[in-house]
Amino acid sequence: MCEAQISLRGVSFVFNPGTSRERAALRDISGEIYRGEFLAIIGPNGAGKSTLARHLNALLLPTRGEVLVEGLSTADPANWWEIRRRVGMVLQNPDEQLVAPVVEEDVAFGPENLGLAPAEIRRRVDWALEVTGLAELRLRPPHLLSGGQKQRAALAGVLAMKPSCLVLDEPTAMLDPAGKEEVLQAVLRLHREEGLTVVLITHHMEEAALADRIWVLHGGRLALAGNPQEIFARREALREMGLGLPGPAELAWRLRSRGWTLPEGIVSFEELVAGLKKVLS
Amino acid sequence: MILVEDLTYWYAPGTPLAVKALDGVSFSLAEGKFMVLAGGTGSGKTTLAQHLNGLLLPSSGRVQVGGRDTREEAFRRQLWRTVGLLWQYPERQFFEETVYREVAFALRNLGADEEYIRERVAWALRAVGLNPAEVLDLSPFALSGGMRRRVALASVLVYRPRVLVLDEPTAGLDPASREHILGLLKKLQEEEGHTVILITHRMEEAARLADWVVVLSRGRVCLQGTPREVFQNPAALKEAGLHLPFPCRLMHRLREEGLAAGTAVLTLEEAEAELERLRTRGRQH
Repeated sequence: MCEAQISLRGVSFVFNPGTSRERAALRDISGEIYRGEFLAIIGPNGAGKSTLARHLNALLLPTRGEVLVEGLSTADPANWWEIRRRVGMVLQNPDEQLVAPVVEEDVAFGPENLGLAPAEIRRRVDWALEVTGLAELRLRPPHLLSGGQKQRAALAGVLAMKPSCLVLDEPTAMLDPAGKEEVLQAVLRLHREEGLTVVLITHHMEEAALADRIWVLHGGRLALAGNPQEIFARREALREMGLGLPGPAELAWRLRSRGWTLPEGIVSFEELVAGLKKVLS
Repeated sequence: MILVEDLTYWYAPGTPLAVKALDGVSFSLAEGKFMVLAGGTGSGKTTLAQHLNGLLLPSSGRVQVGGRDTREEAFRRQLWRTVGLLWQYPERQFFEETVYREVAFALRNLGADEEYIRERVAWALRAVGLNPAEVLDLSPFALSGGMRRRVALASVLVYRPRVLVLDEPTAGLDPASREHILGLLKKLQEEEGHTVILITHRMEEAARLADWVVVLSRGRVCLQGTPREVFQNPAALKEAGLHLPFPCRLMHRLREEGLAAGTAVLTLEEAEAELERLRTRGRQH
């Protein structure tokens, strides 16, 4: 997991440059997103998370600096089509992403635009519906789907383009717990079984805790980067940025400061249960 | 303050598309109490909220606010001033050019005088934690997501409705903004006597804030009671597509692991105390 798939080099972005409404949204961000990794991006509202996400598939271009996707610079318009095919994007609100009257047509929309042979389109649509668990709902109109199903349909539409990287911008924010779980499980499966690179933007620390690595954005800067254990060990720094710890990590911290001997680096529910069992039994 | 009795509501009644969105819903809420209305997507939460300020009228059954039926025409026309409803993603409905005009909108419609409006707008912005001097003249669209949501809430608070109904007011917000809004709602209830109905599927919020919890599933009330009562029933919650709050889920799990953990735990503080009790007892053996 060491090959850089997307590289950011000194990326800054300014909205409305040269006007009275000028606002710096990203400030000198450098970093690599590795092939096959699951990277979570967290940060308070207004930190620049969505702006950064839109740089990963050339929807936005850096004011300064450079974004390379598998070696292709987003600055060159000739690369845009290929970059957007390789980096698929799922947004917060699936209603903004569903266009066709039935699910399978919606999923076919992207590959049809690629000009693929009908048999290949069929194969891709079947695969995308299968891996998102929507095979049985293929003929449903999108408006009759639940929130979780809609978001999975949007995901299937992106997958049918056969991207190598998925960027998800708060894909569960509008979903209920059951819908959140459905979408998260689908994403995790794609990461594990299909080897897709996943970049997940989220406000849910519990979701970020599932990632291989976390980037914390604050005020347009990359403030912290590390694995979940490292990031969630920085309780004070996170609090100052308006962020918190996942429930299990917070409780472990509180117990430790009451003198409990719990191992460092507890992030997940299961890790906490294991730690507590040791102390209590 | 709020009385809902055997409320049933059909969308598109008498057509092939008829859907029973609410089915025999009953609950009551005393003035000054904090209620959480929970349930998965499509459970009827938003439809119910729209009955509380008279936007929708029951197909059968009744809804009373402060003892008066929402079917009374004259009462219903005034009802929005008593029951302030904050929609889901309210900032998507912003249309004014400045924060001031956005927040002042309702009072202007009432024909209040400008000086009074200025005072109320400044109060409402301060209440949601914004500095009026800094934001009044900004475009609401220039603000971050968390600030926009606060402006939306201020535009409801500004006319001081005694009942606040909020449809997932913290969705899409970062933890600090979430805490701020929830803290404000609790304060309005405890210190100013507002009746608050919070729609959420975050059970941690219900556990911390609610006096009363109503859980909807497919248009019916599947559970209601104090948070402690409701969270004693994980199976029914799961059926409704909801999870136990983390502290409570942890205790249930420790019990399954053979530890004598009490499960009537709602908050992290209570979890700490219960774990401390278990540890002390362990030492004595």
